[in-house]
Amino acid sequence: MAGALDGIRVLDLCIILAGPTCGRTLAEYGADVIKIDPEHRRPALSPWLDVGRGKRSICLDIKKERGLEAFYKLADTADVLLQGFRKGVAERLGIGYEQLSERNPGIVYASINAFGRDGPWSMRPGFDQNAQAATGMQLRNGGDGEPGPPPYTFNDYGTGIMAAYGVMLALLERERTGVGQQVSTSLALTASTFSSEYMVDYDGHEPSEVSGPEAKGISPLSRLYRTSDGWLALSADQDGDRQRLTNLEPFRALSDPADQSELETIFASRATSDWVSMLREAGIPAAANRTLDDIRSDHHAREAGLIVSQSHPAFGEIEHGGIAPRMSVTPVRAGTSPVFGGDTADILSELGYSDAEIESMRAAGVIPQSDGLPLR
Amino acid sequence: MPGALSPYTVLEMGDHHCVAVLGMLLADQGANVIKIEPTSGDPLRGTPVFSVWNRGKQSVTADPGADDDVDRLNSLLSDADVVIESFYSGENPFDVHRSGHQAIHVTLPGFGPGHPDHGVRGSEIVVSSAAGVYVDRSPGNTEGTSFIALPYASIFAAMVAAPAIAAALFHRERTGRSQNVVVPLYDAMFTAMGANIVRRPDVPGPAALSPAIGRFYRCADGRWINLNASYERSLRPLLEAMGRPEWYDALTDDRLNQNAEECEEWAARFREPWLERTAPEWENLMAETGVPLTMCRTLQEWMETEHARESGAILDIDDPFYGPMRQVGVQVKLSDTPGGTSNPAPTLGQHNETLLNVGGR
Repeated sequence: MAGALDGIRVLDLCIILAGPTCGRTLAEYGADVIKIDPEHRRPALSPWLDVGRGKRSICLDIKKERGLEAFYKLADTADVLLQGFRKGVAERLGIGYEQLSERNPGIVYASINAFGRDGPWSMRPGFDQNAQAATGMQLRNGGDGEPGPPPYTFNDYGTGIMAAYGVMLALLERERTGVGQQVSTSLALTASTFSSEYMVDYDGHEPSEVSGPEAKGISPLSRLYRTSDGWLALSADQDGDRQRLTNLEPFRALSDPADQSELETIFASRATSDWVSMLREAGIPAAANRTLDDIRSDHHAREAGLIVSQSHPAFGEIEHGGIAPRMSVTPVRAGTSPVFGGDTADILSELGYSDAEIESMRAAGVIPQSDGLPLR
Repeated sequence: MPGALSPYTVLEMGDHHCVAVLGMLLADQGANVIKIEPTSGDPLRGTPVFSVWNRGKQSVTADPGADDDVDRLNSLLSDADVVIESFYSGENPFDVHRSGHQAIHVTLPGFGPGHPDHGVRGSEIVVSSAAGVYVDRSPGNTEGTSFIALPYASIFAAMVAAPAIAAALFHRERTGRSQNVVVPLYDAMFTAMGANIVRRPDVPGPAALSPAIGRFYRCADGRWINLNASYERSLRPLLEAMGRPEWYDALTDDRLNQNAEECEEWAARFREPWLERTAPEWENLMAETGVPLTMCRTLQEWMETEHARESGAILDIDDPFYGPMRQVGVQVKLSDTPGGTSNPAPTLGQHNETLLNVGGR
């Protein structure tokens, strides 16, 4: 079945994780995404295997005249452009929104960076961790000690996905108007959205939230407890949960089912799996607290396509994550990562370049000497 | 100005936080989001976050046991473009029609159909725990796993669902066909795990962490900075600003990346220079030199920055309960259809009369 974005062409100039996640997301929904990199800017292999999936890859030096000319030809065929440069850089390169929309009024132009396009920090470079640092995510985890990042780079992936959302909204609007527009988001905005529960202020507001490495939960009935062999997440704070808990034999003697100290003692007496079985049978949500290694060894995650193993023609045996949304009519697709620069000649041929012109571009250093370059 | 979703009506049903956040992401882009609440109100009512996640929406109350209410709900549904739902129980108590209309149906269960835990209430702590969010962050890993207060799983799932809805609307505009979308919270977390999941069994991962990447250093004022000089182009200005340009060659030697012990020795050496200035001084200096370095702030300090306000990370809303209120800004900005909202969260059943024609409750 066709994807929802079949027929949409995207040019992806982004690097690292956030921007390329936007391109990957659009590819998952069916877009033809062309990743454009200069030959010298080779990404690390793991991110490439993760956020390069579903794309084609061309190496092109757009700082050279013939490279920029080829880029313009591509941009004339594109519906979307993704870039993660700091403010002003794209314009200096000749690929700003005004420059491209003059040639192609329908283009949707997305900008993704660390701190946004407006405000005094708009020129600051940054990565996921810089956005975490700026918005309180790391001090929250560190408590009184050294700050700590969250376990995953939520801002990177969240920013890319939200940028893809913005691009799709702009495409939706273009269906009505025929013209494109600019889309922007940033790592700091994403970090703020993740923090939105606590990111409030009003007259009389007194900030308070659970923080620090010693934090175990928000209440005795919604909390992590140590068991005899690991950790258990208890979620018994909905209507009826207290009664269901005290109906269970180990908790019957509790005068207060929310007595944290008593609960700590009780939960420490049995294995995690025993508690999970007992609590779930009673209708109380609970889960074993898992590590990434636990998740990797979970056969369901593989059966459900949440961890995908494949033999890649260039990179050998690899594993990567799957895709969450299940669409009944336009299913999403995972795709594989391209070889870096591996589609260079093919894409130029599609644009009408002859073999001789392509060889001439190789000789001039506009494109690499050969397609398909190794990654570290 | 109108948002790109202005032509669309969204029906929001559920008590899971993820559905409220998803509704906010849609309302912020102009969608007419109608929140269906039980007559007792959403469980979050009375908390500040209700005013954030429900801004710009309309509120209609309905009793799942009252036939008239269910009929009215189905009438609303027949005019809706999108229905989003997520209940902690996993079951929608309303007997709503799922076919015979053009609405795109979006559900966000904790665990998806086919998962062994499907049917378990997918609360934030349960899903995050299953997805490896709570790791041991205590010094020396002595205290066991650490809870994080931010609802990453709920918000991440909402983020993943938002483009799925946009894609489904785009497809419907082109073909007239509607569809069903399922985004389990647990499954969405695999997108967040991302590069952590990627593995090439025949290639070992990086052996060591550079002293200039992803590190925290304490400054003269006792405050912390986070340093991410990932590129060689930022390493040289970093070392010059630190007064240690002679370290460049050793730090760019490829062998260092394979030697964890030596990296830690370098990290220990790195601790000294930062004590020569305060964290704000370092942050300003590195901003001038283009080095990705950021002072670790509290969330309240972030909200006080000029940048948070000017970049749109914060917006002001006059909330009927809390009064003038500062909240998170709009996540995605579109130049021609910016959306945004100045409308606060609705009072309970505020729109019963206009939408259901039954008078306020």
